[in-house]
Amino acid sequence: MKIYFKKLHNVLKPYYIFVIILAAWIVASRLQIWNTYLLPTPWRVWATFVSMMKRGEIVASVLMSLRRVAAGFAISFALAFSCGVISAFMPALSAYFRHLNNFMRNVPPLSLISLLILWFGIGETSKLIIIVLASFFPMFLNIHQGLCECDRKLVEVGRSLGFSGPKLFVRIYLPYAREDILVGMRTGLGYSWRALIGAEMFAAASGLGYMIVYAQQMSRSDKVIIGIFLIGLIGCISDKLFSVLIRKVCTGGEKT
Amino acid sequence: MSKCKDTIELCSVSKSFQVDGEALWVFRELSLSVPQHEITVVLGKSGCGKTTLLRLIGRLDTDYSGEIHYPVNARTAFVFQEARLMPWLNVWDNITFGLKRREINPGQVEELLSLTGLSGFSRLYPRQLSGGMQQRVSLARALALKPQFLLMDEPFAALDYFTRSNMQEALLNIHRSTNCGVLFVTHSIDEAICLGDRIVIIDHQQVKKVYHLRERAGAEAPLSDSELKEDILQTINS
Repeated sequence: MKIYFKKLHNVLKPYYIFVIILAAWIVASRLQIWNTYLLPTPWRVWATFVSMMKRGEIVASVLMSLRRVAAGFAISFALAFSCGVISAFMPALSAYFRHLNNFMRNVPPLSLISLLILWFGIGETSKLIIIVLASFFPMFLNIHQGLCECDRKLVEVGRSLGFSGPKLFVRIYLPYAREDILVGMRTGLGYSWRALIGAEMFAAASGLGYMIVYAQQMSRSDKVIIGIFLIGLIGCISDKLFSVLIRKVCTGGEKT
Repeated sequence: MSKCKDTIELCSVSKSFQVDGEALWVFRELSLSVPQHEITVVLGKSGCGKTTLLRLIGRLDTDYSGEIHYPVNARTAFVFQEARLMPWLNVWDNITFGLKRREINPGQVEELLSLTGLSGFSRLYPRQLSGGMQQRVSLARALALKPQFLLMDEPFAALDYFTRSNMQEALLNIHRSTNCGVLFVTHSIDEAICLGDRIVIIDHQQVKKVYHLRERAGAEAPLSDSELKEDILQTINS
C-alpha cells in the first residue's frame, strides 16, 4: 500500500503546483482581492469555456492555428533539411552564408511583421513566413550539427561494405543524426507555435492569437485566460508527443 | 584488375603520407601475396604500416602507387579494431547491415549467430552487449557478406585474455568451416603463432620475412613455438 502511494505521489508530483495555483485563485476570488475584470473567477472562466466550446468557437480557433503551424512547419522543415544537408556536405558553399545566417538568427521574426504586412497583407503568407523564420534556425542548426558529427568510423564501415554516397547518407548519416534532427524539430515546433500566436495577434482575423486580442479589446479577460490556457496546453501536448517520438525512435521505446 | 585465381597480389605498392609538406613513406615497392584458404598474419612494430596495408587491400585508401590485383569477383570484408556497430540497430540488423534486403537469409543469420555464440542475443542493442560480444557481432557482420577474404585489423586487441582466447578459437573454427582467406593484423607474436598459416613481418617499408607455418609442421626439424617466437623477435628487432 505504501509503495502504491509512493508511486502515485511520483506520478502526481508535477501536478501539485497546478492544484496550488487553482486553490490560490479560488481563495483570491472568494476574498474578492482583485476586481473580476482584472482576475475573473475560476467558475466564470469555466462557464465561458463551456459556452465557447458549445458554439464551436474554440475548436475553430484551435484548428485554424494548428493548420497554419502545420503548413509553416512543413515548409520550414523541408527548407531546413535541404540547407542542413548542403551546409554539412558542402562546407565551402556554406561559408558564403555564415554571416547571413547569424544575422537572420538574431532578428526576432515578429520584428519583421510590419514589413510582411506591408508586402503580403494580413493573409496567410505573412503568417507562414513568420513561422518559417521562427522554426528554420533551430532545425537547420540541429540537422547541420547531427550530420557533421556523424562518427567517421561508422562511415568507414559503410565504405568497407561498399556503400555509395546516397546509401551512406540514408543508412548511416541520417540514422546517426536522427536524435539531433528530432530535437531540432521539437524546438522548432515550439518556436513556430509561439511565433504564430504573436503573428495572429498583429495580423489575423482568426486563430488563437486573434481570439486573445479580440477578447482583450472586448474587455473579456476570461476569454484571454482561456486562450492562454489553450496555447500552453497544446504546446505541452505537442512537446510531449515529440519527446515520446524521440524516445521511441532513438532507444526503441526503452527509457534510458 | 584481376590476375590470380584465388590470391590477392600486391605488386610494387608504394604509399606515403604528407607530413609538414614532406612525404613520409609507409611502403616503397612492397610486393605481397595473400592467398585464399589461408590465414596470413601481418606482424610488425607499431607504426610500420600494418593497418595502412589492410586499408589499401580493403579499398578504404585508394591513394597509392603500384597495383593490387584481386581474384575475379573477390569480396572482401573488414573487421576493425573496435566493433563499430550501428548503435541504433540490434544485433540481427547489425549483422545484416551490409546485405541487400533480398540477400537476407534468416537461416544463414541464425547460423552466423550460432557460429559466433550469439544465439538468443539477436534482439539486443550494442549498448547492452559486452566488448567481446560486440566484436563477435562485428565478425558476424563481416561473415554475412560471404567474403572470400576477411581483413582483420587487430580485432581482439582490446579484449581481455579469456575473451581473446575464445575469439581466436572462434576465428579458427570459422576459417575451417567457411574456408575464406584471412589477412590478420596484430602486434602480438603469440596471437600470430596461434592463428597464422603464414606470418608476414613488415619493417622499413618492405616485407622483411615470411614464415610459412603450415610447411613448418612438415619440416624435418620444425621450430617449436618458443623458438619461432624468438626468431620472429630477432627478425623484428634486427
